[in-house]
Amino acid sequence: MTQAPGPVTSSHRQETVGFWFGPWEFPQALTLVVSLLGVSWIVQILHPGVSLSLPGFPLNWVLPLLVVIVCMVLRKVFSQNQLLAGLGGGPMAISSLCAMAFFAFPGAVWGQGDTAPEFLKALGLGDVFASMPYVLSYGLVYINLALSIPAKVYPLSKKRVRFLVVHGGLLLILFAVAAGAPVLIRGRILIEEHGDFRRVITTEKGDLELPFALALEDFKLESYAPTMSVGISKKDADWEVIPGTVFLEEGAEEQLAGFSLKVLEFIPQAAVVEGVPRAFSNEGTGPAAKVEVFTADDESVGQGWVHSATVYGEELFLQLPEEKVLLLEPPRPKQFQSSVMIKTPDSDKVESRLLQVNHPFTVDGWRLYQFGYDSARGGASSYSIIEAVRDPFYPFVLMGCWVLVFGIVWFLWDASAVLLQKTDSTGEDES
Amino acid sequence: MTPWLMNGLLITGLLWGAALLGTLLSLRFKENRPLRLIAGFGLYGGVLVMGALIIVLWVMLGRPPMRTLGETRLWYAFLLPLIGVILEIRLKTVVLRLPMLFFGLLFLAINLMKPDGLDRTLMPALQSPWFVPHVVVYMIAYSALGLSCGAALWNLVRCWFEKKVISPKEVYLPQLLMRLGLPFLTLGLVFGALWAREAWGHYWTWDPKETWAFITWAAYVAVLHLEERYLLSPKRHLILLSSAFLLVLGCWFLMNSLPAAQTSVHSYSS
Repeated sequence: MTQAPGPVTSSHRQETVGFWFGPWEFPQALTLVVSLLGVSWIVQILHPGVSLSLPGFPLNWVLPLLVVIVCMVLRKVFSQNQLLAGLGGGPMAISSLCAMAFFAFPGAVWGQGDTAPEFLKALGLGDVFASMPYVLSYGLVYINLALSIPAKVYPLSKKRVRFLVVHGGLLLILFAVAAGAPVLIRGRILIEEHGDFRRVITTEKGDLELPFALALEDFKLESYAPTMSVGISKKDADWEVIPGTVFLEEGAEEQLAGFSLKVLEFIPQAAVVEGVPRAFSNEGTGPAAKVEVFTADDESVGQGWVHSATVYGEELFLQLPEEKVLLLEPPRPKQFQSSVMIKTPDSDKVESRLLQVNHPFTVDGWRLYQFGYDSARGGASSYSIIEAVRDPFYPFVLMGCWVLVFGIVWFLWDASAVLLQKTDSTGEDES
Repeated sequence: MTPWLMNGLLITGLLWGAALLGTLLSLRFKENRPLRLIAGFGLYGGVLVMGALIIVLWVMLGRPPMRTLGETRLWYAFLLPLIGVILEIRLKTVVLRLPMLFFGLLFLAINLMKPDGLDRTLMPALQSPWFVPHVVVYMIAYSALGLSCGAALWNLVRCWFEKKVISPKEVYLPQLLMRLGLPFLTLGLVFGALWAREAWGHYWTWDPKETWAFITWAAYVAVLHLEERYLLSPKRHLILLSSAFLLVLGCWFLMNSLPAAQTSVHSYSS
């Protein structure tokens, strides 16, 4: 249904075209959003197990793309239709975005899934990001964006192009996230030396086989120097730990919890033999330090060895006055990396690559990330845990992000241009 | 906290305290030039000292001082007055002076009362080229939005005290600051997603911190759309701009004490 252009008053709208076909404002947008999401929320409460998701390939991308195309064509063909204009308008954008934020809120306050509190589960929001009202609010934002774009295509102006860039970038991100979700695979693979490892354990899709095999060639852990800490026994609670910050080496000094600490001896790699640390250069060993402790009055309290537990020795700590103890904090990892052998099935080719945190690489569409290792054995870990991710729609997410960044920088440029033009702070000519 | 950092923060606090006193007194004695000079010297001097402290801390730690909640507070205590000073010079206004001194002193006081240990370690995931841009754009966004909130509240309170009707011109500065803050907030969100993808393989996981960040962003986007669409009454507009900042505070501080924090990878270590 189309409407003749021109100003329409509220009463006129009621008499001639009805609630849904007059110029849309908040009453219409709110009515639609609240009633749609309210009904879906009630359904969710009555049937907590129900969740909305897109089907698998190829409908995962065909359906959301079809929605965009249909929305855009309808908006262009029926450019005067007030219902379509309203669904793609500002009040609808605000209402649907606020609804999305509203339904996301439980996830910001309480744990989700198994850790969700019972009352949240009873409200159908125990897994809120898969719940019907949340997914529908996402859909409303998506449709709103798709309908808003065609209206700005012609005639073009600088402001409209900026609008198209920002909203187009957002739409692309929402499309790729929705289309990618059903086909996204994320799992972990544990690799050791000797053997071919290709089994990925995922939470959603069970165990999967990679199209290539991996093996651990070498694992290296680089650590920071250790630090000390003072543990204070509490009557009504666990130990309170006051961490030190000075990296230990021979002669290092630190003030901690009212004591002065001085490192008399330091062994970077030690094994504990009959309660005494001895230098032992091997992966998996930890540092040890002989420390003298003084009170604030420079009175010596005692001295002794501190060592954190490793496979080469038990923990050693120093008893201090006032139910306090001096501990050696295990060295924190600075960087860890796995040298990984990759065997692809199409050839006998064996490739060796280095995998580090923040430096993933891709093999046959699988992105591999250094995830973890045997923290009890540290550098002597015999295995490495790798996160394997297959997300065919990530390039579209990335593209959408950069389009959005471009639009945002443009927006920022225009906003700051006001600063360059104005000389009067009060904004008298802005109001 | 080392003595030099403690002393540096105390010097900044004294400078900003003097600036606050000078500003408050110059509200009463409007033509008094020495008071205005004291206020200006204190404010600008404090910003310079804070900037120098952050640089020295960065060099001393051997890593960007952006890891702990206390370190982000230092950035905030530096960036918020810095943005305020730039706007003050450019727009020839002193409207932002009280909000920037209030926030600057508040964050300094928190850091002095809850001193951070100077931990030089940086976990592997944070050793990314995205770390600095992500935190810095967020801090700029939070600073601009904090100033927007402060200026909006100041204008509301001032008009209430002076018993005058709030005019649309009182909205200009808080609105401009929101329009500067929101793009940075968006950039922070996007940079965080791109970084997360490179570090953990997921660009978005609805971690509680990410959820708060989304809600905050959505609220400011809604405010922007409201402004674009409707001529809001100045009073409502100012209330809207100031109350939206509560979500920023929720995202930054409150989130750490909520039940959801236990499942977050974003819990700051201190």
